[in-house]
Amino acid sequence: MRRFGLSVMVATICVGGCAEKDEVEGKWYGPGIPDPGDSVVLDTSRGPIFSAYTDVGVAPGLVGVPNMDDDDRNGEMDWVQEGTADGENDYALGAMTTYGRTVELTLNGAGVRVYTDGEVVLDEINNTAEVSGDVNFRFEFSEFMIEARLTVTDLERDDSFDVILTAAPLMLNHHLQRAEETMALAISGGDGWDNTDFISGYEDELGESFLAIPGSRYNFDPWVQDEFEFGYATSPDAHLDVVFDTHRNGQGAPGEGLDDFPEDEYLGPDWVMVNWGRVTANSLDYGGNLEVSPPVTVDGVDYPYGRIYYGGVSGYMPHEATMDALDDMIIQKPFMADSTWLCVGHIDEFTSTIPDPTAPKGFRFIIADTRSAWDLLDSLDENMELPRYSPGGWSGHSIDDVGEITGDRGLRNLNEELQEILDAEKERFVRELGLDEEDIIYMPSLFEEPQGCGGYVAALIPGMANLIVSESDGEPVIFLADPFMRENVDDQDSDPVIQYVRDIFPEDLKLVFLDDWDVYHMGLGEVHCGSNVKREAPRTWWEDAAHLFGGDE
Amino acid sequence: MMSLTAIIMAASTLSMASELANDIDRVADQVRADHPEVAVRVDEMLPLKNRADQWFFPGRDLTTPEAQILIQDRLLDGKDTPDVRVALAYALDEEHRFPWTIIAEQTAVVRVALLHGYKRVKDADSVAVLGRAMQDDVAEVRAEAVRLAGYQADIGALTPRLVDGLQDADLNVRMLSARTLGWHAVQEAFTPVSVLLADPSADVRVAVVRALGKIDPERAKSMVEIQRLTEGDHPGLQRAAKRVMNP
Repeated sequence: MRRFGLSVMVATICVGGCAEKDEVEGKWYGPGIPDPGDSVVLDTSRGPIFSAYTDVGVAPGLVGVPNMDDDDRNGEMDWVQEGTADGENDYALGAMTTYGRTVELTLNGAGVRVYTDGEVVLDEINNTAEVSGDVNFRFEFSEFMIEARLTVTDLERDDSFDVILTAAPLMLNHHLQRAEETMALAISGGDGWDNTDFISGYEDELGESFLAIPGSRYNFDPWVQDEFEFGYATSPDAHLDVVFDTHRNGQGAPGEGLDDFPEDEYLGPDWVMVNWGRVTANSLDYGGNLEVSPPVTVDGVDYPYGRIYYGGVSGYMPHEATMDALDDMIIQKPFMADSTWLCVGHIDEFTSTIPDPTAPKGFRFIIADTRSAWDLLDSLDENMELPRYSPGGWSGHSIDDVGEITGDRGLRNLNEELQEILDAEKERFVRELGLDEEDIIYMPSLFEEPQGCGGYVAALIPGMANLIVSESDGEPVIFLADPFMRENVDDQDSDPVIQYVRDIFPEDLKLVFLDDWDVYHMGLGEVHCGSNVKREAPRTWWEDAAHLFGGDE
Repeated sequence: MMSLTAIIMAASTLSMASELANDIDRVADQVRADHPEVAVRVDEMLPLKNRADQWFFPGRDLTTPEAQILIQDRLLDGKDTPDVRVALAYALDEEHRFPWTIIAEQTAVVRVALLHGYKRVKDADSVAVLGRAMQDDVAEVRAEAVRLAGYQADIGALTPRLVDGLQDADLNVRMLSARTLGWHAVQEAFTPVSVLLADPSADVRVAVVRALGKIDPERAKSMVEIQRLTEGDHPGLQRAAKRVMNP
């Protein structure tokens, strides 16, 4: 047993925890918290823990972030440096008052270190120590969701209490979180293959909060959504921004395409890049196949950070290590839907969510719908020319007018069969997200079997469900694909599909229809596939998601 | 440039493959002389990957008749790897599709890609080309031909081959034959399609249930096998069967 006779002034920790003190100095913590008297107390940013009051000690208990970043930029993960990294700021904090008595600390669990005065006093091997006096602690965690138990025993009074120590989960962002930065890859001067209008559409609306990634630096790989996913791990005392850097590797080997972009742009103190397993990715491992719903309540269970969902079916799904890791994060309980009927196979090709303060749940669920598309197209003049659809090859669909769509028996049969799948998937989302019919917006959509995809499909009308939720001047803005269902490609006001979508979307929501035709639509993706959004992270999971932890041990 | 397209299409109907290839080569030489900038663009262009991880050649400038002929020429030149030639094949619009005599001389993956040029051309010539492709030695080519037949306006001439396709050793050919016969509601195919309700492949059985529901909805609805599938374990089969019961 290691013995420490420390005398350290207690730093009062009141981040989100302490109420204003009453006249009894150091004793009064707030309503509902008994007076600890002269009991041994562990003060944390969540509040005090002592033998007569252990509410804060139960799971998730004292929470921190995994020390997986590299604050001193020396190429080593800080956890490996055992507290020696310069600029280290990723500890959870605690301060113990012992009233001069000797207190025994016992740590049960791996992946946690406890420091006093910069020295490790407890870890997996040396798991018992004695302290006396007032002691400041720093708690360090090795990975997401590490859990350990600290038992604090007042040896002189034979009084003890337990504190669960929990490392924050990785949490992925959903569309109701505030957008901080929106990004897409800029491609220009490419022989009729550029996205100048797409980029300027973003820039005009978002200004400085839009990041145009230089295309030439990243091999003109435009699939920004697929390469990585933004997330975070947070606690009362520290915060990490996290990038789930998928195994896509720019659709090639490490270093190709956008593979290095997250590291180039973001890697630094308090940023972590993670992925799981060593795999050659298939398309289902890409970020476009990983989404998060807004907060939902399902069968009486609140998911205040939403639920993760991805596409796959039995036998063809994302890599097992990824699915297991996401399952282990608990709070955003993942589920799988069938996206494997799509050529690319991503869940973002036919579903999304948008904020809507007027909606019962604060959001609407978007799902692609062929019925409304047929109804709409059947109402149009079949001779209406469609110049954007007209070219063949890799530039269009060889469709000259509306009649070539509405009169195509094969296309109708194909979409009828797809609607059968979409109906079943809608029911799955209703079940898994606890949706009601009024929560759903049916996005007019038609699919086709494009060249090279065999019997698998992609959007024929640019897929508007594949949208980006960002914000401008504090108000949400939705960016979605221009459907180009019109004769004059320069006149969006004349587009009946755009008008239809404006009519079915919340009235106050700003919609921006971007020209994604050449680079994205014809490359089998749309606006969401080619964009990414960094969002502001809420920092209260230990309070509002505590019920999702299985038990308090 | 209308004349270029006309030359090639006339050649395609009259010439043997080698003669047609020579014609394309000759016209391509002329384009190279007249439009050197287009020649540089097409001859030196490198493919990119689309989101499905396939090579493709994006660019609106590639849809001009000059570029299309040079793409044809580059493809027939055969110096590119098969996957790049596939991307070249898909870069061709339907006016620059190749006749079967040329398609038949390509490797299987390129044959599959070149058939795509017939998807939106709904005429007797397309039906004839797809019919020839349905007799290809390679299953992937047969499957593609059968799939594309579904998009034709009139497949009467293909019905016997599609019914034969129901017995193909390849499950994709069987599945897509059933689908195409269903999409066209070929009445005489009901019985041969229904035989495949016992196919070992669930994907085939799903296509069969859907096809039967399209060929004769009432008769399909009365089939005990399909009624049973509404309570089965396979989600796709259950879904398709329920759709037959409640169209």
